[in-house]
Amino acid sequence: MMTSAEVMAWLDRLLHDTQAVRDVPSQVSQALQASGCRFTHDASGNERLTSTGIGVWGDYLEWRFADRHAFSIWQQISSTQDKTRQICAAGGPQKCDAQMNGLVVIANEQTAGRGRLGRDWQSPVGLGVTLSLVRCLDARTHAGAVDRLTFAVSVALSQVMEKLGLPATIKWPNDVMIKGRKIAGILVERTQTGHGDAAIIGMGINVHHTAEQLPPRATSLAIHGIQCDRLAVIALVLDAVDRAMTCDETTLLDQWRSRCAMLDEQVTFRHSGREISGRVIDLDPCEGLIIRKADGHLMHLPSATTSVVLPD
Amino acid sequence: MMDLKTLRELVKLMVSNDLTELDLQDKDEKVALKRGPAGGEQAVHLVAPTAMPAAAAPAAATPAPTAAPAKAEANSDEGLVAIPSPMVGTYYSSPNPDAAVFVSVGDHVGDDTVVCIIEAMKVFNEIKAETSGTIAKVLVENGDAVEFGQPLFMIKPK
Repeated sequence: MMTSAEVMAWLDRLLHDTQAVRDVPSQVSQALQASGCRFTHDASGNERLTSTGIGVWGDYLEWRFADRHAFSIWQQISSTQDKTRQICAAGGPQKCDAQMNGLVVIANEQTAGRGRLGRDWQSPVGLGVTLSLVRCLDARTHAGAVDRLTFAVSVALSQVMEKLGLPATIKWPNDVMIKGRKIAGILVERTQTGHGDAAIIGMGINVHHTAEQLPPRATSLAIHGIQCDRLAVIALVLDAVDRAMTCDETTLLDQWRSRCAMLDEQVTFRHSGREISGRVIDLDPCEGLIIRKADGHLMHLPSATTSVVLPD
Repeated sequence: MMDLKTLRELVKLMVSNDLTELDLQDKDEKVALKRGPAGGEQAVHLVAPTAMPAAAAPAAATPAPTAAPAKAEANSDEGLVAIPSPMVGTYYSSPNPDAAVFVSVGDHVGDDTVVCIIEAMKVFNEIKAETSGTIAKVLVENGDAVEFGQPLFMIKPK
C-alpha cells in the first residue's frame, strides 16, 4: 500500500514534468483519479496529467508546504478575503492556531470577488487562482504594512510569470501585466486575529480564461499559450511570495524597478479625489510611489488612496 | 456519475418520505426528480451536467443513501421537503467549533441561506437551502459522516 506522501511525491513530479512521466504506478494514478485528477496516456504507456481535481489540493499543499502554511479550501464562497477575515475573527471549521500566520484560504469559485477601491474581480469556477494569505504584523512590520506587502507580492507574482515564460511588468501598485494587459491582481487588507493585527494578502491570477471570459484589458496564461494547472500555479505563487517576504528590501526594490512599467514615465494619478500628474521617480516601500510634479516638487502617493488614470 | 442504482435509491427515498419533488445539485451535475400522486406515473428528469473546465468532479463514490426512515416518522414528515446532502463528506453545523449553529429548528431559510458546511476531500462546501421555508427537523449532528442524497434537514415550505 502506498502512503499519501508517496502519492503526493508522484503528483509533484507529474505537475512539474511537462513531458509525459513513465512508469507511474497504477495505485498512484488510481488514487489521483479518485480525487478528480485527469490523465492522458500515450501509446507507450506514459502518463501526462491534464488537470488536477480540487479534491487533491489539500493533501498536496499540506505535503508541500507543511512547515510554512495551513490551508482552508472552499468550493464556492463570496471571496477569499471575506472568508479569511471570518476565520481570523472566529476560527474556521478546522482548528487553526490563534495566530493564523501563514494560513492560506483558497476558493474554486468566488461569487463576489473584489479588487482594490471596491472594484470587482471576476472569478468563475475552475478558471483562475484566487487565494488569500494571512501575515501577522508586529510593531516592527506595522507601519506601511499594506504598501510594503503589496510591493513585495507584486514582485513575487511577476517572478511567477517569468518562471512560466512570460515577461511581466508591474503596474503600481497592485497589478501584474503581460503586454499591457492585467494577468494578476493583489489586494492587501488589515484585520484582527485572536493574537493581534494581521494583513490579509489576496491574490487573483487568470489561468485558463479565454478572452471572452475576461473583461477588457485583462489576459490569462492560456491566452499566451501557457497550459499550467491551477495547483501548480498556487505552488509557484506560495514559493515566490514566501521568498519575497524574507528577501531584503534593497534587492526587492531593484527587482521592482526593473519591472515597473511606469518608471520615468509621465503619469496621471487620482489621489484623494484629485488628479495629479508627475514623472515617476521611484518607490518607497512604506510611503508609496515617488513622483516629481511639474513644479519640481517630489510627492509620495500611498497605494491605499491612489489610482492610476488610464490614458484613453 | 449518477448511476441507475443511485437514482433508484433516490426515488425510493422520495416515496418513503412522500416527497413529490427532489432537486439535487452537485458542482458538476444537477438532478431534478418529480413524482406524481401515489399510484400515478413517476417522471424522472435528468439535467445534463454543466461544463466544468479544469476543476474535476469529486470521487465517483456514491454509496446508496442510508436506510429510509421508519414509517411512523415518514408520516410526520408529510408536507415537509428534505435538504439532501449533495455529496459524501463530513457535516459541520457551525462555521467554527465555538460559533453558533448556522440554523436550528424554527429558523426561516431562503434559497441562499447557508445551512451547513460539508467537507469532502479537504474541500469545504457551504450548503445552501435552495428552498424557502422553516426548518422543521435537523437530522444530523455536527461531525457526522453524511452520504450523497442523505436528508440533512426537513423544511416546512412557505
